[in-house]
Amino acid sequence: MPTAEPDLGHASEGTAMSDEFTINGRTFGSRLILGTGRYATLDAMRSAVDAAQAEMVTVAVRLVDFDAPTGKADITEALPDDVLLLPNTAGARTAEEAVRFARLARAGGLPAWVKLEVIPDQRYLLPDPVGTLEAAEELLADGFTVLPYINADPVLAARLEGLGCHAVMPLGSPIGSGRGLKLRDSIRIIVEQATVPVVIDAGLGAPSHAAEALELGADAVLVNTAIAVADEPAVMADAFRLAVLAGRRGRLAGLMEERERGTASSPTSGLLGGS
Amino acid sequence: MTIAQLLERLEITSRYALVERNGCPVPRESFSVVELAAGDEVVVARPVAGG
Repeated sequence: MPTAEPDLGHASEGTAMSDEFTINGRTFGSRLILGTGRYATLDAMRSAVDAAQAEMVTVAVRLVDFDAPTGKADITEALPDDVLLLPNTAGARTAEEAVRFARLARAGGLPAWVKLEVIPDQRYLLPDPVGTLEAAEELLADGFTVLPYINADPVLAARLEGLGCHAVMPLGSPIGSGRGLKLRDSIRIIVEQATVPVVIDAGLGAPSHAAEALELGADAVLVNTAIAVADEPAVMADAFRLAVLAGRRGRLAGLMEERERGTASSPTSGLLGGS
Repeated sequence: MTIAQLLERLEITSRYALVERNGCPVPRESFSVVELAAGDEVVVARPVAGG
């Protein structure tokens, strides 16, 4: 996949031009992963996936509802054939339920990859670290590629990496809140110590949030609501795509250090009024 | 009746059918050979939109 954008500067060959990342041996050119939920129509979802140039999208697993007219519809039929489907375990309140979701999806022919979510309380939608750890251990032993969704907890991220998880997915802020990166310092530590890709998942409400995540050193972002509920989802998907490229390019270029005070950027000598 | 026949009868023709039989996930490859017995509990799920 081409990731270079001529209007984003002149990053050299070997860095941004072939700037891919790898999860468990699979290489991705796109650092923008899309959730498929909450779109008004399947067409809108598909347009957004195309505009984002996403190579991985999440899907959920639910019982067939024989009474609903759309109960048998299969969202994967509206997706491009070459994107990797990443089944999530949304709806699982315990480790056992999450493992059940993942195994059911794999048995039915979906990839043996899982965005592992264990969320006990629908009020806050915050992940259970203990349940996530337990489920990760079981799914890893069962051969899954495991991408756990976690709070931005560096110690938990390290524990999950230690188990063999293939990426970690800390939240920016709670699911669907659109509040951006509320735990920058913790995410910075997760990135600094990570030996697997870090994907910021949840809470990214604007393209600038995605750029910020990549500037902080995240390898990728997963975005759903901010694109799905936009007036123009495909345009917003394109905006996120550009923001991800800009943030990544800025990270690679070497960001300046923040300072407490202003520092002149024009010469301080040779002033017209004399020195 | 096999699982494949059950899915056909339920008019589930989509790309992915996710099936559990008595609490165990059934690999797609064996849908056409697994015979259902009286009293079996079958769960049928599918991929849906989600984040």
